[in-house]
Amino acid sequence: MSIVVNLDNVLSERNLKSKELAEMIGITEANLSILKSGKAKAIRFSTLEAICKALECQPADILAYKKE
Amino acid sequence: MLQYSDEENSWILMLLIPLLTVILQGYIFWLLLKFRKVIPEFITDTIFTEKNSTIFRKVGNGLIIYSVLIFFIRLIEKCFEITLEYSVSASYTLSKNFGTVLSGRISLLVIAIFLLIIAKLIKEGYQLKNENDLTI
Repeated sequence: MSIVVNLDNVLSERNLKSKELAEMIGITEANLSILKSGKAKAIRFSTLEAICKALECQPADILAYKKE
Repeated sequence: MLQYSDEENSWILMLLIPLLTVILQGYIFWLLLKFRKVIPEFITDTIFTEKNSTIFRKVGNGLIIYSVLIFFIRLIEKCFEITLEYSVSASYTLSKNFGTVLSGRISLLVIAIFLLIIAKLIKEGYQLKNENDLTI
């Protein structure tokens, strides 16, 4: 997929663990793992909003378009 | 009771047609056994799977093959019966029996088409479910 999820980079910048983020935004660790691995087919605006709120970042910091 | 006057043709009626019918009955029984695998998944609410779609498609295709083959077998059988019994021409009996035999197989063809439609719906449903499950 040409959309890349840079959640790992943002998490390491913030010194946060996946488990903590999952708890903060109210999704399961399994779902967060799907999102991080790029297996997710779609992301809800509400989830994106929660991630941005928790990590104090912009959607563009998490998602990027990479030409295949 | 049939009177087999033509020795050359009678073996077709006596042996080949019953044999083909038995083979086809076996084939339809095998399809039913295949179809049986779907029932537990309907009970456990896991209908939208690729496996179910494949089973429905295979059974649908199998029913079409069965109904087409059994149509020709019945047609040939009936043509032989009347031709031998009343000594009339084969073309006359063919046209006479075509409608009768076809009407008996139409319901099976309709069921087969419905099964193929259901297979397609299950496949679409599986894709949508997959997409929904992977929406975070």
